Amino acid sequence: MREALFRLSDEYREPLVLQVMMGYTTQEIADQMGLQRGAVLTRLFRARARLRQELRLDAEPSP
Amino acid sequence: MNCLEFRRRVGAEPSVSGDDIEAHRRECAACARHQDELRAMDALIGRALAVDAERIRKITPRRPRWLALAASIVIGLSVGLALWISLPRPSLAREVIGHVADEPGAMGSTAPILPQALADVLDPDGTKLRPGVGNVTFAARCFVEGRIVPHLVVRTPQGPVTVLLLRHRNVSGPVRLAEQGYVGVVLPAPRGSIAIVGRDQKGLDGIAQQVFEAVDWGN
Repeated sequence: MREALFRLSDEYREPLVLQVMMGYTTQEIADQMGLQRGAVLTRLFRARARLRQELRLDAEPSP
Repeated sequence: MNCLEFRRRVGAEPSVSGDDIEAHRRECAACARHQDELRAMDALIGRALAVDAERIRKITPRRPRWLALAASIVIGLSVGLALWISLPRPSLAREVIGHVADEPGAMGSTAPILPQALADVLDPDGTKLRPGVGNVTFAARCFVEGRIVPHLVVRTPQGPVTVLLLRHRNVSGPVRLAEQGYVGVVLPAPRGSIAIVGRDQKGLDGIAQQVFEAVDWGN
């Protein structure tokens, strides 16, 4: 999981860490990062989608 | 609420709740399972990032309860910060091209934006774009390498190019980029550097030079 997390680009990882690890609300993350709340929601959605994708790929056995 | 809206909301905030969320969970077992999976993934993320904090706590000598609590908060924050700082930075090419690829609609924009919209993006850094290089069809302040940077799309006679003004990033010479079907170059600039990214290598250097010369970096 850590490796998958670290493979995310900063723009996706930062809001995710702020939300999950620090407990920031999406509005607080938006304020912190100088973004609209909608942009933060998009990034959080994409970050999780990428993580899910990465973890599924990681779980697949090698051919 | 339909499945798409539900999944958009829980994808951004798995812990979200409310009447509409609960009602959809009751109606759609697949969506309810999806939200549960996302919540479980968040717990995994939290645990993955907390491992080092836990190790440090174990070797910390016992102190009064309030002091231990205060210390654990400080340690937690410090480790969080240290983890954050130590996260591997993707290469410049991956970061720049990755950002361009994430917003394909920006490169496809064709209508010139209003001068005020361009000023809103450039003014905070004291930057200006001299006229003549082409129409600016997209302008936003975006997050690149942990910094907020101006992101423009300029439609030149040779085609659209994305321009990122990277004041925070110094490069000693031109850095070539070629990933995910995009090509580009990062050039040293009076303040940091400038990335110019397009689809076609042909003519890119000429366009990059024109764009470079059109940017007034201010003081």
